[in-house]
Amino acid sequence: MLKGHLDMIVLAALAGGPSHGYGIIQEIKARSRGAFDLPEGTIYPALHRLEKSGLLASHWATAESGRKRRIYKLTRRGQRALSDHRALWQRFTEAIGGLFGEKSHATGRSNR
Amino acid sequence: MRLGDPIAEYGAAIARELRFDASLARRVRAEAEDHLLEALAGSSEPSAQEAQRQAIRAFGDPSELARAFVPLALQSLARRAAVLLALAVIGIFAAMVARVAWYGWMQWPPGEQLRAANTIGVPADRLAFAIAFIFALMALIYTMTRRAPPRLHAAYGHEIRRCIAMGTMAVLALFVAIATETILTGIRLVESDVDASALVPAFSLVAEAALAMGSAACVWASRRRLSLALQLTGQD
Repeated sequence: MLKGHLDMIVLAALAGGPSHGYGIIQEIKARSRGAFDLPEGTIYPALHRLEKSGLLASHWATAESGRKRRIYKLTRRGQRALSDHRALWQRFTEAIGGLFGEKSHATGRSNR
Repeated sequence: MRLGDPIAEYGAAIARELRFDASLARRVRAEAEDHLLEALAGSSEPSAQEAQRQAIRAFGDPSELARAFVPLALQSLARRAAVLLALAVIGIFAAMVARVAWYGWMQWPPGEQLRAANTIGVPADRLAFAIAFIFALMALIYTMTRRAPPRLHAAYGHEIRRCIAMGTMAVLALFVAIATETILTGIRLVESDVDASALVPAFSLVAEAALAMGSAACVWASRRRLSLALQLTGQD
């Protein structure tokens, strides 16, 4: 499930502001309460892919430790894509929720 | 590489796996090393060695990581080669037009032998250049309309191979066109009194040859890098 939604997860993790790869992974773990514990390296192909598609922009920066690090941020297109994903996901969860609700309701009725 | 430093060794392993794209390898290595050092700094594990092992394990297998970069890297590789080839074809065409315009401006009519050679040489040159143009254009359109899949599959590998094959055909046709033009220009120069005005056709031919050689080098490098990338995914 995670593989198909990795791009959306990365975009959502960057909604709070620019970050580097490790920061994005930490954000994903924290906001999913540890549910998305993916191999950390897998985020980098996704970041590069999203950058190539124009949804992210990146630049080298120097960390406090003096190390060079790549910082990623959402572009305007990325923000729009995230809004679209969010709306689609909302509709999907509502539909599934309705389906499960209907089913349990129907089951309840048939048990009566 | 710092010997005995697992993070540096891991970074080197990633760079080795990504050897099909040197600039990508440098970037991913720097990002991975920064990531691992950051994970180390945030680790609560008392043993530094164990913390390094955990961070590396959590990052994943270098081969697996490199394989995930292959589709995107191949797309960039094919697009870059196709764009450079298209620019070379345009450059060669400009050099050809400039040379013909120079003959007209200098009122440099063809001699007896050149007129005879032109009956075969000019159609051959035009045909070869048209083939090069068509293949270069096809390669450009083909690469620009293909999307890199999230994970490499055999069909995408074939698409990139097809693009490189089109580029190879275009380069071969360019060499035929330039060889024909070299012969025709040589006959023209032999038939007339060579003076400083001969420098322009000579220079245009050198420029054409340089562009064709550059295109050939680019297509050859792309073939080699494609082969390295596909070896990694077991598709070569």
